[in-house]
Parts: sequence; structure tokens; C-alpha cells
Amino acid sequence: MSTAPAIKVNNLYRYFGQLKAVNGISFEIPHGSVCGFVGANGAGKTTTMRILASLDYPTMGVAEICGINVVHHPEEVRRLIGWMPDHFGNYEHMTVVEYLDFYARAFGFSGKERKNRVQEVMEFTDLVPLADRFSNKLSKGMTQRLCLGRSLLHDPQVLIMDEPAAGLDPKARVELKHLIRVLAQEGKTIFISSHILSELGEMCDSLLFVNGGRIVHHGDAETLRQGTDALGGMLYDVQVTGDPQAVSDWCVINPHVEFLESRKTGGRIRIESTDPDRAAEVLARMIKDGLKVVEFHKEQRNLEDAFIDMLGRIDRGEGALPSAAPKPVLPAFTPPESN
Amino acid sequence: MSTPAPAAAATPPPVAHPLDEFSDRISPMLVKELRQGLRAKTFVIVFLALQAMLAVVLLAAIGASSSEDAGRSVSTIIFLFFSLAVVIVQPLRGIGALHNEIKGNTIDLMVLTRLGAWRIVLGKWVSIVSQSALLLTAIAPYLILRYFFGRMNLFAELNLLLLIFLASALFTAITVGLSAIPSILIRGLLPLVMALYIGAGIFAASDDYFGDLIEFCALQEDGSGWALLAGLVTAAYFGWSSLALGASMIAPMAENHSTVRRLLTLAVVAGFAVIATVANFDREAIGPVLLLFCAPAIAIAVTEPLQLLPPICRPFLRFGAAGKLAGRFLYPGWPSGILFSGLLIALGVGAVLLHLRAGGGPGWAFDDKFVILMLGALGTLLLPGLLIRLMPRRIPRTFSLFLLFAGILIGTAIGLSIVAEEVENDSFMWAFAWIPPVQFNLMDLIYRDYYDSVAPGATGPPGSPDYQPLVLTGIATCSIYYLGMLLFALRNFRSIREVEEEAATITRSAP
Repeated sequence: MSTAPAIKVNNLYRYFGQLKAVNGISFEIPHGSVCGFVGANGAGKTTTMRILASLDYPTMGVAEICGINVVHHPEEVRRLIGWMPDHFGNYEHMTVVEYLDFYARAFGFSGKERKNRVQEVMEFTDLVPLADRFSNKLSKGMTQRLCLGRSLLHDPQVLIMDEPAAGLDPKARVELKHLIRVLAQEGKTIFISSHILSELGEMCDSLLFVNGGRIVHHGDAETLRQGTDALGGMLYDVQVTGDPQAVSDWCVINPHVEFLESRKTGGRIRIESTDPDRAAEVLARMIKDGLKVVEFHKEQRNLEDAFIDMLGRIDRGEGALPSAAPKPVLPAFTPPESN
Repeated sequence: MSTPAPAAAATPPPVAHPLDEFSDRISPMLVKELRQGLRAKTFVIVFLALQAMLAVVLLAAIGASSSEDAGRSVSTIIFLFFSLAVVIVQPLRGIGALHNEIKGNTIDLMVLTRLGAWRIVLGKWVSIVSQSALLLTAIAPYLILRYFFGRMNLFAELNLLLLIFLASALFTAITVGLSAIPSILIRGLLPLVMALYIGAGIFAASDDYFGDLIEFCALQEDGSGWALLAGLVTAAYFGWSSLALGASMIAPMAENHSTVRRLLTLAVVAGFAVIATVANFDREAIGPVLLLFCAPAIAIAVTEPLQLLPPICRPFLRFGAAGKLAGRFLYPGWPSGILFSGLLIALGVGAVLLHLRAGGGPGWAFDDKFVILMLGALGTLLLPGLLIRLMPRRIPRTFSLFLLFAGILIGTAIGLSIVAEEVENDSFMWAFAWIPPVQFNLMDLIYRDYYDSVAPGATGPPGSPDYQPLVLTGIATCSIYYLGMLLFALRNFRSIREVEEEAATITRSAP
């Protein structure tokens, strides 16, 4: 394994006409780590991932996989990466085993080696019971497992997964998460994008937040949870009987308490103090004011809160959190605009 | 991958089948396509319908075998059904070949393997052609039975069968190649219109000209062998051009398909020019044939997206200044495509001039009508190329737009001639002389005006029609259109130089 990071992106830009899809991002991901790539739709996640997979090219900047430039040596890069796109079509009249067999042939496996390889991948992704089922008749979860199996056929060092959990039911998500965990334990570098931040938080060693084509944070989940908490205080879940709207109405007329989010029978509030006595006072006041509180408990800040707060900071012009991204250097490659 | 190893250890290795080894010797793409294609409903239906129809027809013919023409009738029907199956239905299956892969995002998955764009396209084409070959073998029993009806020219009928099969292969190449184009008008409608024409031709041939076809295929007439060979070479070139178009449209940016395609076109044009000169081909045929060879190459070259990457420049840079110069004509992308088109046009014109001199005919003198036709056709290729460059917004895939513009120009010329017919005054068409296809209308106009000017009863018109203004118009429009494109190309050479410098830096820094 080379000493270079598994993924290195330096001052990467990708413009589509006037649209700045990727706007000067830089980051590094070490070997054997799992990195989550988070951002709203259109933030530049897929474009960055496609460049890393050598399927697109940068307008400017450098992208490397294990020290190999994706623009200069795409063939070498393709041997190192496994790519899972956010959506892909399946073939008609082709069974699961034939699908994997085709890609194994395409990756250069032949004879017994090919069959063993397909068998191994099918067992790992639990596709053996589906071997003879037509690939276009699979559920979304099965399709994603098939796609993961395909991307593992040539034993890549780096896995690039674009929204692999999108559209999956909870059971399929758990299965996929398990497979990713096993792959991470095996030492593979995994670069994964998702909208489900809580899951990314559990799986990933680090998180990259991208917004408007720029990296706004690079660090672990805990740093992010704490670092974005500009307002401080503590979060509480409040459940009441009767009208849940009463909780938000109560917060409006009471200082130092902020209503954050409606829930089925109450809501989520922020108390502007970390002192437990202060929380007890708030609860007592709620009951005194006639709220029929049946539940009142402290909650952890989750990654969704952190992400929203992060975007809020940027919108307010306060800037993003300091990230672990390397400092940009001069661009090494400037291809012409296509027409 | 080490990941699944523990599970694999518990599994016995699969039992090898002797036939499995055979599939390792053929392209993965072909294996995949055959697996899918042979299960497709279209193929199964065509196969069974062909068998059923031929069985019924043959039984009916056996019942009426007293007729002297029964053998010929059976042949006609066998060829009719076979032609419809392999020249119409089978090639039309190629319409979605590459488009479905692009739409389903599976083309990305394939190019990340060791499959190159050419192998993908070729696999698609060979698969459909192989299935057509299966249909060919399926009608063999009927041909053997037909032999017993008598009056069979075995050589000619086998030749005809082969020609039908090759026509199928060519049309399949066209549909597969075009299937990478995003526009449904080009990808779907164009092959459908072609299929309608071919279908009408098949019905006409089987009804009226079957005897003539058999006679031609017997190769007894003078020059029929050469004509067949020339047809085969032309078909091979067009089939290859279509597949090359498809390959270049799906290829990743780091794959260079343009250079080989352009070099081969240059070789074909130069080779044809030499053969035409040596064999003293008919002078009037050389220009149109050369233009036919050049047309697809020019259309593709001037519409290629400019996505030049350093790995593509590297092989050229090894040859220093000569390599850089060659790159100006052979790099992928429309700027070098425009220079290449100029080279191709110059080569074609040179070939025609050389041929005239070698033939010892009228030397450098040209038939005006020939020149006008050639210039009009050339202009029809150049003007869409210029219009694309004048478009305010950059369009990534311009080949469809090129075809659309060319269609609009031809449609405009047809529309103007209809209007001129209606208003009984066609002199206004000179205002549209800058539209190359209109120059064909004007040639006809000059011819008619000249003969209308001759007084009734006169023995004959003095002199000949004056085509010179139209020839000059043709030369001027072609020159302006080409120079316009060249200006756009030269403006973009700066970015090509930047990529070359980048490629040179990488080469120098490589260990």
C-alpha cells in the first residue's frame, strides 16, 4: 500500500457553464477509514465522486486515488476503486449470477477463478438465494446489494458509494450498514455520501460537509456536534397530553426557552443553560401554567441539528467550522472548456 | 478481495463444465448480449414466425408442385421473409442498444471495467448479427427442400443470401451506432424511415426484380464482380463509421477514438483515389464517391466535443514538433476536426484533379454541373458545422444538431422550390443562394431559363447555359463557411496548447 492518502483532493473545481458544481474543494482521506460525504441536493457530492471515479474530469485541480492522478492515469485508478452510483438500471433477461458473471468477465476473471470470485461475492452480499432471479425483478435493497457485489468483484482498495442507502427500507438499510462495517473492518477505504446523517455518524470515522460546491467542515461526528453548537444550552423532549401546540405557545411567552421542532404529542425545546436546576425550574413552570407534561427528558444534539446549524452559520456569514482540509495549492491541470 | 474469503472457504468450488471454457474465449460483452438477446421476445417471435411461415409456404408449394415456376416462387417467398426478418426487424433491435445502457447508468459501470467503448459497441453489434446468422442457419432446411423443386441457380441464390445478410449487418451497425445519440428523432425515427424505405425496396425486389437480382448475383455480367466488391468495401466503411460514432459517444474522455478513425478515413480516401486513377474509373463517379466517404467523417469531426486530456496528447508529444502538428489534425475535438476536414477536402479535390490528368480527358476543365453538385453537397456539410459554432449556448452533443441543421437546409431548399412553382417566379431563389442545397434548384433554374430563351422553331440554342455565377457562388459559400469554422477552431487552439504543456510536464516529471 502506498504512503499517499487513499483519497486526496486538492483545490478541485468543476464548472458546467455558469454553474459551479464543485468550487475549490480540498480534503484527504487516509487508508482504511470510512468518510461520510454530506450535503444538500446539488451541493456537488455526486460530481466530486464521479471525478474521483474517473467518470468526469475537473475544470481545475487535482484528484488522486492512492497517489494516482485520476485525470492522468484513469486506467490505473479504475483498478483501485469500486463505484456504486446513486441510481443504475438493471438488465432485462439476466439473472443475478449472470449479472455478476458478466462483470467478473469484464474485470478480466476467467474460468474457475471467475466462478469462485462470483460465488464469494454472492455469499458476502447474501445474494446466493437470489442467484437465479432476474436482476430487473429485484427489490431496491437487493439491487443495492447486487451493485455492492459488482463493485467488490475486482477487490478494490477504495469504495466510492453515492447515496447507497437512498430509497431503502429500514431492514435493507441495516443490512447495507452491516456490509459497510464489515468492509471497513477489512481495511477498505470507504467514501460514502448519504442524506441519513444519523447513520453516517454511526458508520464514519470522519464527515465531510459540502455546501454550494465548497467543503464547510471536515472532522469527526462529535467535533461537529459540539463545534456547531453556537447557542449552547441543553435540548429537551417535552411530551404532553391534549393539544401539542400548547408547548410551542408556552415557549413563545417564556424567555430563555426556545421551541425547536414539533413532534406528535409535543416538541423539542432548547433551554439556554446547562444547569439541571434550570431545567427543573422550566418543568415546574410548565406544570404550573397548566401544561399536562407526561414526559420531559434531555436529548443529545444530533447530526441533523449540527448540519442545520452549520448551514445557518454560513447563511449568517459567520463562516464554517475550521476543518481538517489541507491548504489549497496552485492548480496543476487546466483542461479546456468542452463544447 | 479478502472480504468474502471466510465464507468462500466453506463452499465447494463450482463444477467446471467443458463448454464454460469456450465462453472465456469470446468477448464478455458478446456473452452478455447473447444471453439477453436470445431470451428477448422479439427474437423468439421472429424466429418462430419465420419457421412457421416458411413451413406453411413450402407445404403449399409442395401441394402445387406441378407448376413450372414453383421453385422460383418458393425462392422468392423464402428470400422475402428472410429479408424482412434480418434486414428490417433484427437491425431495428439495435435502436436502443447503447441508449438503454446510457439511460440506465450502466455504461459508467462498464467503462470502469476493462471493457473499452469499442468492445462494448462491437459486442452489441456482433450479438445482433449473430442472432441474424442463427436465423440464416434456420432457413437452411427450407433452401435444401427448395433445391428439389428444380431450376435453382445455387451460386446466385447463395450469393443473394450472403448479400442480404451483409445488408443486415450494415443496417444493424447503423442502428447500433446511432443508438448512442440522445435525440429520439435521430436515434429512432431515422432508422424507422430507413426501414420503411428498405421494406418497400424488399417488396418491390421480390415482386418485380427477383430475377434481375439473381442474374446480378450470378456474377455473369461484365463488371458485376467489381461492383459487388466496391459495394462491400463501401458497406464495410459505412458500417465501421457508424460503430465508431457510437464508440466515441460512449467512450470516457481519456479514450481517444478520433485519431484512428480519422487516419482510417484518410487511408480509405487516398486508397480509393489511387485505385480510381490506376483503374481509370468513370470520371463523374469519383467525386460523389469520395464525398460519400468524406461526409460521415466530416460530420463527426466537426461536431466532436472538445475534451482533450493530457493522456491523449502524450503519444503525439513523443514525436516532437511533427507530433504536435499531427495533433492539430488528429486530436479529438472539433477544432482539430475542422483542420482535418480541410485536409480531407484538399485530398479529395487533389484526387479528382489527378484523375482528370491521368485520364487524359479535358485536363483541368470541369463540367460546371458536376462542380455545382459537388460544391452544393460540400456546403451542406460545412454550413451546419458553422451554425453550431455560432450558437450562443454551448451544446455538449452536437452531432444530432448537425443532422437537424442539414435536414432543415435540405427542407428549406425543397420548400423554396415548391413556393417558386406556386408563384411561377423563381428568380427570388437567388436571394437564398447562400443555402447550399438551394444551389441545386438554381442549377435547374439556369438550365430551364436558357432553354426557355430559345425561340420556338430554332434549330438549337446557341452556346450553353451560363453556370459560372453559380459556380462562383458555390466556391464563395464553401470558402466562407470553412474559413468561418477555421476561425473558431484557431481561437480554441490556445487551450489545446495548454493541455499539451500539461502533458509535457507530466512526462518530464515521470520517474
